[in-house]
Amino acid sequence: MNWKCFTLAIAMAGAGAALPANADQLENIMSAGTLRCATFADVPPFAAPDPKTREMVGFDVDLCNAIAREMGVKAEVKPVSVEARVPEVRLGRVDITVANLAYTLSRAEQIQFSDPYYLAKEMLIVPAADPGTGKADFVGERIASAKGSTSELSIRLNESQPLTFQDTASAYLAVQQGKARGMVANTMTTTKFVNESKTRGKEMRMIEEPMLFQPIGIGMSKDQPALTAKVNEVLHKLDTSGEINKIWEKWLGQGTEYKMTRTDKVVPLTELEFDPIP
Amino acid sequence: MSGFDLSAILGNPEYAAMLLHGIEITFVIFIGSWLLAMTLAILLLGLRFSPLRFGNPLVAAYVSYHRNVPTLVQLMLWYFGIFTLMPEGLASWLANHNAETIFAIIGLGLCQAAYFSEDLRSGLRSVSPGQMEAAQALGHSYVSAMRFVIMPQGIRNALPPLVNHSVSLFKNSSLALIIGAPELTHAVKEVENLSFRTFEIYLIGTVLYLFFSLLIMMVGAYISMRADPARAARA
Repeated sequence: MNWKCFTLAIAMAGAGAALPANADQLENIMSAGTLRCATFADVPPFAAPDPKTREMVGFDVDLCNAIAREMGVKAEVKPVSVEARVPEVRLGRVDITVANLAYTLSRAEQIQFSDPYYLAKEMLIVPAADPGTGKADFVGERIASAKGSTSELSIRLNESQPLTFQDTASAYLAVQQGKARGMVANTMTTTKFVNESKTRGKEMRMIEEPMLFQPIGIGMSKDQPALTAKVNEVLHKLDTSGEINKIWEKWLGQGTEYKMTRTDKVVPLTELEFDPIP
Repeated sequence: MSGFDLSAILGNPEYAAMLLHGIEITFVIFIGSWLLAMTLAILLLGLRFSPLRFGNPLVAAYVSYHRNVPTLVQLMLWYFGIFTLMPEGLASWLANHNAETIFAIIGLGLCQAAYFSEDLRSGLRSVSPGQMEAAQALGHSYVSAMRFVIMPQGIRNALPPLVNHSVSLFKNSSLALIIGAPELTHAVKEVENLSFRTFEIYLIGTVLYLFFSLLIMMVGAYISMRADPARAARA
């Protein structure tokens, strides 16, 4: 089979599967009484099977259940592979995907994002003695990161020179040895390194301004304004009632190994100032 | 994602520039480490054949370290380990002058010197001792016998393994990506990351490596032929 033929077949299969979704999806959900919800298949603490009960558990599962409860329907959790998070929604096999899904321009072309409920950040850490204060001070400078990561992308977007390694530990070592002016990684990793540097090695500090924002939202079909409005409404409600924070505390908060604090509120994407990932 | 499409990478000036830069650094590493390795190999060979008492075991130790420790580990030892022992001034100078590429040249060059020196030694050893005796019987001095009788044959014998090891050195330059040197494999992975066209870019990388490796082998074959016209005529 040649490639063009193959692509065409895929495209037609996609179009065929997407057809039924043209009806009002919110109505379908309400009449079926179930909200079909894609999550990770095995990514703790977001969604993974509990070894004892064999039920899917995690932050995304709880969030999905909370949304369904607010809508007055039952949640049906469907574990999918990491790559399938977007296509499953596009093909109409699930209604929403709650799977730590970061907003990117290429994803936004294919699916509709809800208002983000969390902002993942890529942070820059530098030796404490470094005079830099914002990411603009590091344009053109050598910054270390793990290869192929969003961190590397953020360095490129900032027009700094990336110095990349296979893992974050090597990148950190390179900064400690003065081979790069700073390093970029997600909040969890950089916090850990900064804390570690207080007891040994060169002391590091975090640049307050994030290198990159990754708004995490819920994915759903495009052109379903009723469903989008409903999901956003439910998210805002769960946020104000403290429900999202409660779920967060349970899976990612201080009592867990992740020790992360959620300071973000559910806000429309348009109110965020950030450079979206291509 | 659409189907197989090489032009999506080759037609993109940004990706093409990344690949070109990768090729450039790969050659900087290859040529730099080859020159370092050959110079050192000749010095090691001289030491090995010298009457110095510790010459032989010293070279033997050098060779066994470099041949028995993975090249990857040697590179990491240089970049992350020995770097920290360097004086502050030198270290910061290196850090500002592409320390990654420099350490790749040093690490690969020192390692390859062990192989090159053994190639040269086996080439010289393969010349029968009778030749030296015969040359001396004909009135050649030791130096003159080496210069006109032993060396030409020894080097000729050493050429094929030297070419093989040169090709492996070229391929081993891809190990430099582990210490962040922006060589060809590094560039290939980078393009893969940005374009998500995994198959196409690895195919391009494969073809590039194959092309340059064959080129090095052809140059090697040409030099071998020039060095041994008699064998070339027989072949």
